[in-house]
Amino acid sequence: MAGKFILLVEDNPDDEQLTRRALAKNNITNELVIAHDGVEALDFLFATGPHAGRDTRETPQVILLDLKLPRIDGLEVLRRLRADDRTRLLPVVILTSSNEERDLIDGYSLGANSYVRKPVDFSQFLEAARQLGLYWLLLNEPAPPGTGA
Amino acid sequence: MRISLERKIALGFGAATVILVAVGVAAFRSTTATIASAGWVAHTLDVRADLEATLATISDAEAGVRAFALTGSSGFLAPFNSAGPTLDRLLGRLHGLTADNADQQRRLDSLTILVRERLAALQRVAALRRARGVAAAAREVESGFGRQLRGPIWATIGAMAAAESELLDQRSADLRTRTRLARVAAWAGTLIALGILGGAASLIQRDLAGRRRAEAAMRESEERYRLLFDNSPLPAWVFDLETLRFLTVNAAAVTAYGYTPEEFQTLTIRDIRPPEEIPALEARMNLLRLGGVKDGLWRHRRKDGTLLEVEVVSHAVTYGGRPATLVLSHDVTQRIRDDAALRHYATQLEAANAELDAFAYSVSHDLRAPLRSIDGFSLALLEDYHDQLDPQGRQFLERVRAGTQRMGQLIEDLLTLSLVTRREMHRDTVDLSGLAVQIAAELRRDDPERHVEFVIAAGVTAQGDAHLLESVLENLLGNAWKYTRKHPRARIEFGRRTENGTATYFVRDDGAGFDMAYAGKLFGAFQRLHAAADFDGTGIGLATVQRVVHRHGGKVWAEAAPDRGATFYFTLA
Repeated sequence: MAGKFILLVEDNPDDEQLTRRALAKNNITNELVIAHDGVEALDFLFATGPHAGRDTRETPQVILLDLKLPRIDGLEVLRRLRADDRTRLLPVVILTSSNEERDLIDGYSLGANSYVRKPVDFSQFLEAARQLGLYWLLLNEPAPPGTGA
Repeated sequence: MRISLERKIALGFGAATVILVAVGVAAFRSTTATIASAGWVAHTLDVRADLEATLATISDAEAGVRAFALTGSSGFLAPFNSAGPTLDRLLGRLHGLTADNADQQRRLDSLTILVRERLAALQRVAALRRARGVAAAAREVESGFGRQLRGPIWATIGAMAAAESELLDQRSADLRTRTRLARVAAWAGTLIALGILGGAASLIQRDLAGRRRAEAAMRESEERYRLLFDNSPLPAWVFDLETLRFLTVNAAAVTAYGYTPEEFQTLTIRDIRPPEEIPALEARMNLLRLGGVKDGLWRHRRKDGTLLEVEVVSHAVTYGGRPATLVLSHDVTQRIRDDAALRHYATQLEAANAELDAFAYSVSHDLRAPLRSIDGFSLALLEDYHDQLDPQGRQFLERVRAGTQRMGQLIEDLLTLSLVTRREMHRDTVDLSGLAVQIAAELRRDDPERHVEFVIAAGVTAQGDAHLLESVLENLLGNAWKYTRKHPRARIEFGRRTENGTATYFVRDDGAGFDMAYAGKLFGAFQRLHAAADFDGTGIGLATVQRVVHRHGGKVWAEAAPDRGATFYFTLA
């Protein structure tokens, strides 16, 4: 896959669809890769399991990471991301319903770049998606690929 | 150098004794001297008597010879005849008596010569009378040889007598002086001795009196302590440090342990403990004997076998001359049970709080997600199927969305409310005025078109948790802002006043107010006094305010009238 793509780690199919919709409504046409839990996310990023053989130098422009995930949860994914040179520098936006202080602190401590709450009101969600897209896909410059080592 | 009382007294008595002995010696010597002097007087009298006898003998001899010279009668010669031996005897005695005085001896020698010559002269006169008659005798007498002798004899005798008198005077004076000295010494010595004895006596007296007082004080003090010991509400006893037997117990101990005082006398402190406690007791006893640890928590056993937990305080004492220990025993069985129960409840409380925390966390995530779905897909419907829906259909969907958003808000408020209860309070000095100003600015920013006058008292501070107090003001000012929405110009006040010495804070608005009849429902969770159409809200705000205020130990209440605004008051402890 060429071009900038977004990795969305989200277990809730409703949220997944709504996120797609929100991005689409904001004319963000980049490819959206979905991982439904932490294991899938790590498999994808490290080219293991079902994703074996993938070129790990092809990294997402940004990772939208939910926290409450089955099997391996969001914070653990973040921890492992940051521990591996291949993924250490990837931008990670925690996108979650929780506004518990604990999660905020843990997220930032583990190296997340941003923390955004998912609002209940969808129109607000749309606006959040628009801003996220604008910033992370257009404005922000990620590290050059393969420079984590 | 401090001298002990006993030494002082010993020294005193010693000195007194020495002085008295000295006085005695002086007195003895004085008496001896007096006797000696009496002897001297007799001696002088003897000498004088002998001298007078000598004179008398010579005079008699002279008179006899004169008479013989006149009359020729030899009967008159008798004194003369006896004069010789008499004078020998007298002079001989005088010689003995004056043996110690050289001058007197010399005089005596010349007297002896004179006397002999006088006798010889008289002998001649007598012989002449006998031989030649009166005239020859008269001539001898006239020749004056005899007469010449008379002067010196009288003079010598006089001198000897005078000398003897003088000697006597001297000796008397001497004696008087010595006697006076001795007397003075005796007086002085006696007085000093008496003084010392008096001093010693007074010292002894004082010491005895002091001792008696100390004994009395100690007895009294013992009496008091005895009283305290006997009447102490805490069981107390004294046990012998070596044999561990009970020496004395008080009434409370009898009641607490069930043994009579007599029974206690037969027991040791081992007997009031259950067997498993004995090793610990032995260990403690060693420590105690070394003067060590004094207090502790123990398990004791009553006569009827029931156990009790006691807090023991001990103190080393001397009882009946033996080392012993005074013990106060405080039954803390109930307290320990209460402590255990408290700890149990505390643990339960902690567990409950942990559960609450987990619950709130889960609510954060799990309840919001479905809401988002409902809202999101409703909007999707509205947008994508707009043309296929009639106004009613569209309206239904709008209401669905409104419902979910409202539920989202309710969840937020519930979470806030629970946070208020479970959050740890950090007390500090909080600048309420500053907070009010900030909140007012935010309200203005969110709704710039409104004309609201804020009157915020400056410098209002309070002791409490900054976060929680912030939420109080947010709610109260937010309400004031909300309920003055319908007024073109509104006025919101925040300040503090002092009522009965307590600081009372208030937020006042001149908005919709409410009917005081429903004031009781004001602070109930989800209770509302206005229709949602007029003023929206979940009814949680005031419940939150009340909870925060109560956690600070204060009170909250309100006064209002419909359309005449409302004032909310609160205190913090």
